[in-house]
Amino acid sequence: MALLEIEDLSVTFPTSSGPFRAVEGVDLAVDQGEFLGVVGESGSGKSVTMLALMGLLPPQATIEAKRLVFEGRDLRKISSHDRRRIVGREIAMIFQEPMSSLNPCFTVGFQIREALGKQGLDRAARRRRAVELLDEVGIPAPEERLSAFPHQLSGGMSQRVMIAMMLAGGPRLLVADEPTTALDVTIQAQILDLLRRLQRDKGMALILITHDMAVVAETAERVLVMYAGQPVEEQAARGLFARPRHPYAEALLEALPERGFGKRRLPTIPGVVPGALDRPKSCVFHPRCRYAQDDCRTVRPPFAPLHGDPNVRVRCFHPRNEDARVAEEAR
Amino acid sequence: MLQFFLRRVLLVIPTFIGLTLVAFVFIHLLPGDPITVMLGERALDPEREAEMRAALGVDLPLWQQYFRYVWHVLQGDLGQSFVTRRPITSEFFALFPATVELGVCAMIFAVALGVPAGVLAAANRGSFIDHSIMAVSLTGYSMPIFWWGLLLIILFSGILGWTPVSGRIDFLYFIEPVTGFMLIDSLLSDQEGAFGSAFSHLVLPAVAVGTIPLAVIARQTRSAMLEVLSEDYVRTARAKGLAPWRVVGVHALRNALIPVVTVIGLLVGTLFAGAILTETIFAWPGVGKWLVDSIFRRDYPAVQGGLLLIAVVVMAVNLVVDLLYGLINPRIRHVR
Repeated sequence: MALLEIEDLSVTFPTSSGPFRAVEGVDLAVDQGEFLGVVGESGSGKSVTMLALMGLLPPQATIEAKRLVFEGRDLRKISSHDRRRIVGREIAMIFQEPMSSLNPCFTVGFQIREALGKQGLDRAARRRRAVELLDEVGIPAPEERLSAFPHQLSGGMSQRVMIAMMLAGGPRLLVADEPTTALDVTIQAQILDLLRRLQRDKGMALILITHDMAVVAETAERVLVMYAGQPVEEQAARGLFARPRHPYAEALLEALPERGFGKRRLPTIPGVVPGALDRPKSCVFHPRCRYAQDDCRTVRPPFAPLHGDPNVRVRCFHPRNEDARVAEEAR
Repeated sequence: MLQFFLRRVLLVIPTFIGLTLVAFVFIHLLPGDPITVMLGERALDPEREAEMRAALGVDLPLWQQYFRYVWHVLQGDLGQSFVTRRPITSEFFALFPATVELGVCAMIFAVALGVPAGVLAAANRGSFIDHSIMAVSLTGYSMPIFWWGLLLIILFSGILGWTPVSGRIDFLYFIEPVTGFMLIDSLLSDQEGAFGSAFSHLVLPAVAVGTIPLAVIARQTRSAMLEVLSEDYVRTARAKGLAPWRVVGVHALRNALIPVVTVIGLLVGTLFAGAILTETIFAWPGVGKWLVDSIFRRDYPAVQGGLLLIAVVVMAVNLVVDLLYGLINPRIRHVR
């Protein structure tokens, strides 16, 4: 049984020009100890999906889903009190801006101890546990850091503190929303290493949201590609990088500088991501797709297993790289 | 931090010079001549008049009068009242506790209601609760104090008969002034019902003085909370699975209080302005009423000294608030 199952999730925000579906048709499953990468441009609905799971969206947002199940518990049906016992303990989340994600008025120690709050530990035990957690995320002199205020920490340190804080509840699933985007490149690698190490050591599932394909290539086992609020492709990381099936995923990979070697100009995807009002009713990517045909302009393709293979799902009528499959089958 | 401290304390000097100048100049702009008033009908003898002017120093050029004045002020001598012939400072400080008592209670009332009201409004932004709280607060802010005080008297003293109309305590009690604060002195006096009487005398004036600060604090708290509630760290607090009251009441409020404390400091000036009117309406024997009486008596040194002392108090409170600011805002405390 999967740890987390999301089926047909949609999130709608009321706007002055009518309701806006930020996210629709998201199907997602994460197994125990699995590392899932979620990739997409800004505004593709990656963060909104995860905030919906955490129950952190503003109250105006309407969340609908056929299934929203964590460890067999239906998150749609439990009370907000029970949900808070899951969120923050069994599911934890870290964010893009570590510097502003810590409360400037409270010490690091306070904020970590608070996360430990309900576990029946006394003061001294909580303090020891906080030191252990800081040590675990690689913070030097953790004892001294307890009395530090967030503004005394660097961005990388803040993110480590965030991670320590979120580990306090012993989560089964950690959602990392662009955890390295605001950090220096060298620090980025350190934080990613830390996350990967923690995921392996603790057998914790990890969902890494990022817009950086290279980050996913280095770390994730499986990848979900999102575009304009919808998942468009999902498969094992290795498969995706070898043989992307959705034209958008293919175009994203072609645009990687690492792959543009020897070319005079880096390939780009023409056009822009559709905004709130001009999302096509049919395939959302067809206006920018090189391979779009008539059916793409009239009907929305389902997000379905490709050729009956449940490990590869694509939202496209004309998936790419079919030749390779034919060649494979012929062999 | 030390630098912040020193710079803030040094700022007091130019402010003080400004204060003395304003107090001095404004008083001399007022129409009416105190010597004429003092001499009354006997002001027929020019020699006697000149003698008196010389004795009081009002015959000197203005700038000399100013420096003399500042010199005396620095020595704690604000002169004598023209009317009672007693030192201004002793008059002022005899009445000052009454005003402080009124002001402190008004501020407690304003903060105790204003902060929760602002938090409630912000937490329910755009709802009926929010709109009602803001409407009431705007009404409170727009209410002229003298009128509001009278309305309170008419309703609670006149129609309902719950509270006394004026004074600090019933004539039944004789309270030895130990601290000058009637609430405390009445407790110390051990007289049955004295404290209750003192309290019921205090309620209405405190509400009257506290209403405008209450409205300002509620609005300030609301807007600070709204800003803070959209911060990333509030989302983090919720992601930790904390109860909503803890997210709002601890994580958000602690940050929202920083601007609110500054406003509370600035409101001390408003408080005195309110006290002047309120003390007059409720016959509250504090410095506000004394100041108004002194103005009517053209008691120059009293008005001048009273204004200066009030200004110094406001200045001192703001100094304390600014220094406190460092305590509640860690980002200031740790600057170099």
